[in-house]
Amino acid sequence: MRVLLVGNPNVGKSVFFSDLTGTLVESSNYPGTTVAYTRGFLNLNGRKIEIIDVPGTYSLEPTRKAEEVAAAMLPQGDVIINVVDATNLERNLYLTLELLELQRPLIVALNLWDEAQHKGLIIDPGQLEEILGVPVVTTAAIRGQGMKQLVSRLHEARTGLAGWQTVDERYAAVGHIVRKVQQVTHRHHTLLETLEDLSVMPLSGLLITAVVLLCAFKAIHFIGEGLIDHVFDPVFEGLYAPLLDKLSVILGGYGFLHHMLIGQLINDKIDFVQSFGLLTTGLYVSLAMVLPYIIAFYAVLGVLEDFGYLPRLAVVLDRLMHRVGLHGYAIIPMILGFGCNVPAALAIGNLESRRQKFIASTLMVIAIPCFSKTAMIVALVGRYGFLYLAHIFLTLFSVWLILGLTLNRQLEGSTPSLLMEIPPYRLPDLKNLSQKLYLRVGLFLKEAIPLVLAGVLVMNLAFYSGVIPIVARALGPLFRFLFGLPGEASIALFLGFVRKDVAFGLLAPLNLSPEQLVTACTILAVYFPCMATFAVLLRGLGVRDMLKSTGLMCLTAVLAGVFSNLAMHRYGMLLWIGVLAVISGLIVFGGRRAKTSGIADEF
Amino acid sequence: MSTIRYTLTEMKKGTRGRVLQITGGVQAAKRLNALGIIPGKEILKVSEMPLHGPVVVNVEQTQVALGFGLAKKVILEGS
Repeated sequence: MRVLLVGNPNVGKSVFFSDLTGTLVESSNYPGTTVAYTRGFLNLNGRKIEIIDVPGTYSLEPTRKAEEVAAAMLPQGDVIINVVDATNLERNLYLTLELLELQRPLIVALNLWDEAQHKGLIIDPGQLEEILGVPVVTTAAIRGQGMKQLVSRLHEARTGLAGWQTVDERYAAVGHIVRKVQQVTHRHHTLLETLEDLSVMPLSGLLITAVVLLCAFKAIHFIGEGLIDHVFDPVFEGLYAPLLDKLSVILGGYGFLHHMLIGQLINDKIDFVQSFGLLTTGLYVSLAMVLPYIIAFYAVLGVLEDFGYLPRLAVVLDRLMHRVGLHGYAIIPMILGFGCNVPAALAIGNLESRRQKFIASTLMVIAIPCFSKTAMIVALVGRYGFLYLAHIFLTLFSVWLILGLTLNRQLEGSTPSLLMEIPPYRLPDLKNLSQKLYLRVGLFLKEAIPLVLAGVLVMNLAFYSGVIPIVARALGPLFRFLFGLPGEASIALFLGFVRKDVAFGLLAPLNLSPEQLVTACTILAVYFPCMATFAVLLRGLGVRDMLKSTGLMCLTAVLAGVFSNLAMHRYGMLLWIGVLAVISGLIVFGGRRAKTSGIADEF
Repeated sequence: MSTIRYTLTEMKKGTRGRVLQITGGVQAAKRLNALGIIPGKEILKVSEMPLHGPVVVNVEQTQVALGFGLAKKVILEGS
């Protein structure tokens, strides 16, 4: 038997899925978390039941990609569980009526039941069941309430009332049903609701955005540094290092195996960053340098997501995003991209047009550093002072802005209008937060460690076989001329395709000056995404758009590298003034074009 | 009592109005309808962002953000 979970976006289908199947999937408080469907199994008295989490849809007449996926899946289900947001009965019932017309066994789950009661909405589930002719159960899935009842009544699912022909008839029926089963009692605005309204007002919205971003930044830094100082460094320095010292002695201090496992001794000692062996740098980069910050980032992101802040950020930044050919919703994949570009590339699938997808993907892979990159940049450059770090991130932001403004100007077509539901602020649920963190950190470890180790191994073999000095010598003149970097730095670019964090790690043994490090980090951050992102983008964009995006990427990487080299060594201020002039010029001219195409603001 | 017509972008912040019609393409109407913005519905305008930014409205129990281009297509009537 196959059961489909169908409902509007952001009603909690993924939480149902996790509850029913025991499989963890990500769920957040904004529409569009689930892009593709997920399947899992529920064991019901020894019977294996397949459960499919279908992307949210408002209607069975699809208007965007995720909804097409949903509509196409419906004929495959034996039973449909229609997850309904009880706090939004009127809007949700439209889909319910459409589902009833399919004449397939249906059961309705009135989810967010506790929240509806808090909001003063009195709904009579019994009467709703009578009217619709299908079972109705009340649930609060995030707290696990009502799930047993839902499962025990699954076999009662049946075809119910139907017979509406037109859209208007359906709306009339919805209105009729809601008036019968729901009473709204008056109630005062809560503090959270006042905050909701303030978040989307011009002045207070900007202020709240600034405060939230600042706090998020501080919190990530605090958690990340705290984990490094109190957990990861003590474990690596205190417990792990002595073991490796013994191993190094046993292996004799040099030779092939020593080179692969331990790497080179720096001043007769193991250096976790520079030795570059599998057991030293290989493990240290993913576990001690990057992992603490990955945990910190996802912990903070989880809170922002579940609280429901991201859709408000989309409203506040909608104007800015239009300038770069996107609309406010695109800020969500951009923010996810700061964690890892792979889920961000998937979330870009929620955007409406091919033009938007192309712009968003290109901007994201080129100018949004994932947290593996950020953590390494901070670890390598941070000790030379804040200004060097700021130079890298300001360069990336300028690249994002200039590239976006240019693409918006050059590419045909216009940006569709934002249209999104803004969910209420909800106090994050600790269980959901920790599950999501566990899921994301687990994914990072599964992805990162094998690739980082593979990267270190390949590098060591290449060093050992003498390939690297040849490449370094060949590319040396070009690298010195363009970027002021030694030829060895080019090796990091090759490795960057496998995994970015370990490529940054390669820069450590080169003894670069802070200025050279800034340039090398800038190039590495802009240049080519890692394999995993590349694969996802290729699927999402197609070969042609991906080639275009890749071309832009290589060009931008060279330009950003030359810029950084010049800005670091000469004409620093002058170049930055030039960048500002270019940006303001593009804003003025880009604006004119946007106005002429504004009339054709269509989907 | 005379009624006046205006677009959602012209509507004053903090006021209520009844949706009369949605102009423009079928696609736009469909997507707005899906979020509960349907002729006959009363909506409350919560805020609008400056420089032709998005408009935020409350309709029934849902809060919806519409870009300026879409908001222009929503025609309301009020007194």
